[in-house]
Amino acid sequence: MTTTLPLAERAPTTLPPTTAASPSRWREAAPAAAHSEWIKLRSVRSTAVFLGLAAAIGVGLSLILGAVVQEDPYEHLPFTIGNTFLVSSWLTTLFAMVAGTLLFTSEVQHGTLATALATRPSRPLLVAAKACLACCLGLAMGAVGIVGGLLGGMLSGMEAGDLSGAVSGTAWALTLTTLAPVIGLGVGLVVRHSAAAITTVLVWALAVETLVRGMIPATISRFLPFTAAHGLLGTRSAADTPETFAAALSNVGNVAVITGWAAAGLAVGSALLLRRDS
Amino acid sequence: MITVSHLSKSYGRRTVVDDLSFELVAGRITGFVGPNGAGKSTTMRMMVGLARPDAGRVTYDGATFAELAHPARTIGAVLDARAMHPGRSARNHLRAIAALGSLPSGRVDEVLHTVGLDDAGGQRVGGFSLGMRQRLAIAGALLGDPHILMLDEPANGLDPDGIRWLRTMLTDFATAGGTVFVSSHFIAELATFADDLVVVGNGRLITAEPLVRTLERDPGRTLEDIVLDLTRHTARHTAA
Repeated sequence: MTTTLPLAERAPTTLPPTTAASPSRWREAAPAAAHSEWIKLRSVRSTAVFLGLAAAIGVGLSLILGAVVQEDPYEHLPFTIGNTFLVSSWLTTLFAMVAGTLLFTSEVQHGTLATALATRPSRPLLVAAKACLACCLGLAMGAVGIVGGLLGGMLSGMEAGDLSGAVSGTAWALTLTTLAPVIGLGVGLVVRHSAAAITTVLVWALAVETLVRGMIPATISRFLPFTAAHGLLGTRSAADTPETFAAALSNVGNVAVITGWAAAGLAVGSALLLRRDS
Repeated sequence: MITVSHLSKSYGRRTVVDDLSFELVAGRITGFVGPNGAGKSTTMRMMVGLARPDAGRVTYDGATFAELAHPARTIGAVLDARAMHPGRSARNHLRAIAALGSLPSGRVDEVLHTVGLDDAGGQRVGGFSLGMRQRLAIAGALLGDPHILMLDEPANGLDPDGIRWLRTMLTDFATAGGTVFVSSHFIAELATFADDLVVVGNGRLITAEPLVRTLERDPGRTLEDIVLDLTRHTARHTAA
């Protein structure tokens, strides 16, 4: 049976329809979406926790290197502030990636994604706003970690050492930590579940990529995200060989690789978000 | 005028909503009833673009939800009262929605007052009862001062005072010319304030008509009995 309600007085059409993708709507909606994401980011404790973690890792690692380890195991030279203040950036990158996953998965977990899309029904806009805020969070975490590294170095009594590459090193490290949460956001968009997304990031970073690196030629493994991250930070690992050094990309090349992973994650995640019901 | 036209949705081989059509008119409260699994929530999710229909469409004065220039100023929807971050304060929860919808931030305290949560604005949502969450979710729906309210089971968790408040609020909203579409299992309660009724079962429309006409089907019996009779076959079918 298909009966319909009697037509009482019709409500006037007060809102002229426009298409969701029209540029004028994006101009008005993009700052609004970014502002909303900023409020969300500021109003949860996890943001402060991640920033505090970045600071603690920065200070802590520099203190350990300066006061406990004291000497570079590869070159047998004393650690200086100049060659240690960026050491925490790799861990900061990892945690920034985790923070990036939570930007999306916590919305799914708590059901606020539906509220957001019922308020502003544009999935690409939501992803773009989250990507912008992910970059801001990563930049802040990177900066806090680096300042922490400097402070830890000073507190441990290390010599200043050679600081000639400090500015460019800081710039590359901040580029890395800025892009890292966007990769995490892409993982979150695909996986959607907080614990599963965090596990994916950690297992890949701490185990899978190292295994994969050992199984494929260095000319290919240099395109893996954390290999590129190591390259950008100038850090070494036990898995490094003369072949990996020979195949290493330039810093610009490493940034391109990381940007590519971030873009791919966002593209796949956005495509899935568009296809899936929310 | 909200027109739901031949809406269908399947998940795998299971048809959840099957060729559903009805209309909602301004100034009236329409109750949306049916047994669990009848497709009420899925229908409402499709109405606000959260689920993609396999067939059919929903239009608001001719425009789809995605085409509305100002969705938050047009429709206030509460589809899940638990949909809020427990670590965020009530005020920040609303501020985030207001910012996203380009709504004035001053509305936040206004709607907190409207739903009776003036004193709880600074509290984290994690400490709220279901009734307080329900009120906060309704506050979010009211932020844009919309002319359509769509509420899925809004009475869940509300105490008797809260249910009376909800009834009064919805009645006032409709009296002022707004359109209210509310799903509920509390049919007896719905009978006290709804003007029209849409009854579904197994995803299909059973009836869509003014409430008085439903009551005229079997004079002397309660609306609850009549609706249960109407949906009995489909409820049994769902259970099977």
